[in-house]
Amino acid sequence: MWRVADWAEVADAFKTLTQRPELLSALLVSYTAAFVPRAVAWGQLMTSKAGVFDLFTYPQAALLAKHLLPFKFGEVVRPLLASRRGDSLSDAAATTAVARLPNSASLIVIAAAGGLLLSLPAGRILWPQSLALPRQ
Amino acid sequence: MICAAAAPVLLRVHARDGLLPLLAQRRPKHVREQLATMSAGRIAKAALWMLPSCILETAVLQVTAQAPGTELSLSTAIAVTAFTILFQVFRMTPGGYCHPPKNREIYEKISTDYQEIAKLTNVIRDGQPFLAVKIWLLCEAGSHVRLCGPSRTLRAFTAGPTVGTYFPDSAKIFGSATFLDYPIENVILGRREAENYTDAQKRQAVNKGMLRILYHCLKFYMIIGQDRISSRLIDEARAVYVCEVVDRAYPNSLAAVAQAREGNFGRQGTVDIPLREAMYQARQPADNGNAAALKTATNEVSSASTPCSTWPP
Repeated sequence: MWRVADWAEVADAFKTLTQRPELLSALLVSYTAAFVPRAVAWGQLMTSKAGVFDLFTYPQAALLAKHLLPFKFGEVVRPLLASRRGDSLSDAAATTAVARLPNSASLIVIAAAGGLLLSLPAGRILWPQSLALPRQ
Repeated sequence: MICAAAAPVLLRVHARDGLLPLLAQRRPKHVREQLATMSAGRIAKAALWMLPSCILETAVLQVTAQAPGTELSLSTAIAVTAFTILFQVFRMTPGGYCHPPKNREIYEKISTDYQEIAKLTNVIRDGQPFLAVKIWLLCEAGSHVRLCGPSRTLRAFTAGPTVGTYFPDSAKIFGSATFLDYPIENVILGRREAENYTDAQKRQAVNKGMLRILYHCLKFYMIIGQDRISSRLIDEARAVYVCEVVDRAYPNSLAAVAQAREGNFGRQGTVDIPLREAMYQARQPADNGNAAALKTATNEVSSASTPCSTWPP
């Protein structure tokens, strides 16, 4: 990344984003909101009935740890936090590990959809093109 | 796609042997017990909840990329998000490296599409019929911008809201926000003013229309480059003008047409070089954040490029 990135463009992009606080706010809210369904999904896997808000906050802390600390320390933080709030550590650890299965399944679906769109040959959108042709 | 192919295999293994008990055998006892109690139904429900989360992340990625002007198609955004997280899931963790083509590169290719269209119109000189459908397909989905998705085609620019927004005076004069689009559409359909056009007239109308599109595209990027004080957008305007380099020259470009017309009208050095210099000089105030100087430089570009809009094809 360091070698291929055009840092002037990166700076330009940051500048543009900071000039549009409404968009930046919407992006932050959307990205944070993306963790709500993940929290619900995690709750589906856990046997103990932890609240969605708690399950929402642990991955946030784990994500922060993941970005700040080396290796995959964030993965350890998540069940540890859950256990400190009274959930079973084994339940939290097991569900954190197993949560990768539904995560992978949903990503496979999305990747397959995206990959299908990307891998279409050169004439891939011939029929939409034909539809787009103006009618006599 | 490999992952997609692997999914049914994994599901079959799970149905036969039970994937979770297999995993559970390698865990401590209490974790093993937890895994053993986890039903496939709960995992499926969790997967359903994960989907909107991934879709939201895709949307964030796409909007973030598009906000500063980087083109990222929906399909690319989906694939990048999915593969990035997927590889993290599988602990390969490339960290989400994505290198979509730069906008400047895209616009160089758009100009190449224009040249492809010009070549298609020239076949009538060999006695062949006017290739209306092929020309229209290039406008709709030019082969050179295919790598970037359909949003950077010539027609996406002409038929979308951009032209009406940034050239309101012209839209008012021509009575339509798609004043760059409909003349070409009429030629392709052979309707309205183009109803009785000969093939030679169609060729002339399409080429003239294309030059107008490129000229407005160039101006559009200068306008938003000035608005956003961005030298990158000015580079994009320059990319529209000069197109791709071939043997250290720019043969397939608006610049080449400018040089040819200078020769035709005996006005060498009056359009192409001043325009390039004006665009080059506009970069510095953009880089320095000097809005007033950038405005002056942009006006210079606008003035220097005016002949581009009036050349006969």
